[in-house]
Amino acid sequence: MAFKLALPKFKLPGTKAAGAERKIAGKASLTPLSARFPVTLKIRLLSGSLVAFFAVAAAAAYVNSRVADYTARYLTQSGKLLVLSQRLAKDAQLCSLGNDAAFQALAQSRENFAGILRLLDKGDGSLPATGDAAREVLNEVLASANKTLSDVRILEEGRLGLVTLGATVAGIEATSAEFRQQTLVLIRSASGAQKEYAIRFALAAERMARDATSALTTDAYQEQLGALGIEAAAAERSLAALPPEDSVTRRLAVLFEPYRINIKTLNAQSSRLAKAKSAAKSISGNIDLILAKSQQLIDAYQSDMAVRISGPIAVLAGMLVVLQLLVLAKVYLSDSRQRADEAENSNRRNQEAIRRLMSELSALAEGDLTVRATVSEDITGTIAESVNYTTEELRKLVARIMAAADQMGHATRQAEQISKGLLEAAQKQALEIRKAGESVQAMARSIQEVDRSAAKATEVGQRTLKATGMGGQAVRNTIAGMDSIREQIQNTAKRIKRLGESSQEIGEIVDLISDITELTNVLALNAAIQAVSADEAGRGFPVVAEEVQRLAERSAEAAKQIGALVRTIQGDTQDAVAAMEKSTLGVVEGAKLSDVAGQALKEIEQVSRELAALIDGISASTRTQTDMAGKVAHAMRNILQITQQATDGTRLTANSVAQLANLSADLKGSVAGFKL
Amino acid sequence: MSKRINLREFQQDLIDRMQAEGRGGEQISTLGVRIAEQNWLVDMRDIGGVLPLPPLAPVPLAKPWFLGMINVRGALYGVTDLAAYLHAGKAASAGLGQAVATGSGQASGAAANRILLVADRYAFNAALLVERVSGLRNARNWTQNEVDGQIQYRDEQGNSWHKLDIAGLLMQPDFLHISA
Repeated sequence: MAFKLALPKFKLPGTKAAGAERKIAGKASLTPLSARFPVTLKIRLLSGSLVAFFAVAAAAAYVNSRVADYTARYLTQSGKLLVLSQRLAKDAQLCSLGNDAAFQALAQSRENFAGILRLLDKGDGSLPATGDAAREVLNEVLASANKTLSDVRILEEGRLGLVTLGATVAGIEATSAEFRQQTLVLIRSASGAQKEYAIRFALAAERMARDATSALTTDAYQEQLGALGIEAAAAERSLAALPPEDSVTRRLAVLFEPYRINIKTLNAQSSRLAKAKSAAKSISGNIDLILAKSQQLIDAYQSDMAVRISGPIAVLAGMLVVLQLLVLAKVYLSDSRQRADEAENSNRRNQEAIRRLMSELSALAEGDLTVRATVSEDITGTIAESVNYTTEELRKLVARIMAAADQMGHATRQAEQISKGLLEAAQKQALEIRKAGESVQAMARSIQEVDRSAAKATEVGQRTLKATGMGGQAVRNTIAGMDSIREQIQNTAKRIKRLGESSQEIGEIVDLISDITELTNVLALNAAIQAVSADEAGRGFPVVAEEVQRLAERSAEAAKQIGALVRTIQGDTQDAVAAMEKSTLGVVEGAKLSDVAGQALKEIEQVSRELAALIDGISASTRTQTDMAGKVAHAMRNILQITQQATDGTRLTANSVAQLANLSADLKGSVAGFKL
Repeated sequence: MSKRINLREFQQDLIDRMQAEGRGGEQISTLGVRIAEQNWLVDMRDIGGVLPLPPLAPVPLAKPWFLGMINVRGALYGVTDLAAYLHAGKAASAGLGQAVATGSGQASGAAANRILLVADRYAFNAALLVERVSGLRNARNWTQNEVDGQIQYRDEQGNSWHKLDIAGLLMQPDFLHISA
């Protein structure tokens, strides 16, 4: 069993830890199988199996004790079964004799018996069901016991009949003496047929007593019961034949009444009684078998206990535990010894490897960085590997230092050139700054010039302001003058209009005059015509008429001319009015223009005021500029100084760079000793 | 234009002329009128008066040259537009027709138009509308010639004048026949 347990674990080592250990112990591959495993693993295996065995032993002991306990209980119960079966048989016997108390005892026994059988058969919370070899015996016991139990149940069903029978027999026995005495009295007192009936009754009663007793004790109770019935009927008939008014007869009837009733009951119960009787008999017959089987059951339980293997297992496991402990101790000891040997061997190997390593590395100390130490599997292997790594890194470092020194030389040469350029630039810068300072001073002078000009401009602005004020006044005067001109023109226009109206009136008057002249003319003509018709005395009249007519013609002519003149005057006045309206418009326009001019002058005033303010601002800023220029000049001087310092610094830097170049050459020389 | 008239000279001249007229010689007896842009001379003995055109009472269904009736101091006169009449009768009339051939045929109707009343001795209530009365004209010293039986005058300025024969006019049947 130990081998079985160890075998699956034997296959387990495949883990990394085990692999690593095996690599170290690679040369010991020829050692036996068990020795191939490391000691720790062995110890782990052994202690594992040890614990397992211990557990098995404990489990076996526990099971053993439990089984023993159960078996003890089984034995107790089956012992009880033995006693109970005997009591059952006794009680059944008593019951068949009609003992009422025995029935109660029988029921109690039956209960207990059935309970024990159930316990053994099915078990309960604390006891398992019976198993293994005892089971077969138990099954046999159960078969016969169940039969007995059913018999007992049948017996109990016949309880009423049996008890009645018992009571009847007891009643008959109790009353038989008095009964006999009473019948004797009756026989003695009776005569004739009545005497015969009395004798018959007495015989029937005697027989009834005998039959009842035999029915209780013997097996042929059925025939006895039948006989009892017949006898009871005969007794009844005999009793009926007797004179009923007789006191003895009455007493007999009273005594006989329970007989009759009991016998009737017995007859009714006869079939059950029969079954009960046979059941009681069967119980008595069966009980021996049950007793034998129960004994067998007890034996089976005892032998079952002896057959249990858990006890030996526990013992065997304990022994194996002790054996494992011994093996463990042995393994531990051999392991310590092997370790000491291995330590000595490896020490020797290490010393040798270190010597070899030292000899290989001696060239390295002389600066040969191409040397490589041999990488073996010894302890120095890793050292050699790391030394190689270090040497390689050192080689790279030296190479880098050399490259850096080269670069530095190159860079310093560049820096030298740059610093030279810087020096020149600084000198140029100083020159430029000096020039700039001069320019700034010139600028300051020109700014002062601007300041003076600004002051003059301010004066001019003031004068402009005055002039614009005067101009504004003049424009206002002009506007006033224009207004008065307009009024005058308007007055003139009115007058001229009136003149035109007057000339129209003149025209009308002239028309009237011309009409009058026409009429005069006509008058003169008529006069002349009349004169022609007259005689000699009127001869001179046509001359007058002619003259009148001529005058009229002339005046008509004059009136015509006046009319023309008047028309001309009217046209001229209309033209004049139109012209005056035009000039009024012109004057208004002129006033507007003058107003605009006044506005423009006002704006000019405003502008010149703003201009003066601006010029003041300009002169203020020029003063500030002058101050600023002075500060700038000062700053320029400072810058010049700083530039000179920078120039000196650049010179120093150039020197330092030259030194740096030397240093880099030195560095290169010192590194050159390494062989790469 | 200021031709001031010396009143004294004027008066002297007038008296002289009146005396000269009174001593003998022929007195001026013709009146110059203008009809249809032509100058005509009318004997002043043939006319009873001159007057401006009064309001006309038109006559219906009359010839176009018969303008209507006028009332002069209570007497009624029939007014004939001479210009229109002459123009209308230029073809029919043998005597007057040629002389008025160039007339426009209608009085102007202006303010200068005058009515000549036919003299009372004709006992003919007719009035003649003329364009204008030019004034008294003395045709004695004018050159005169006859053209187709018509006497034509030419004055000092060279203007030609026709003679208007009132009596002949009145005797023309067309003149009396006014119904259209």
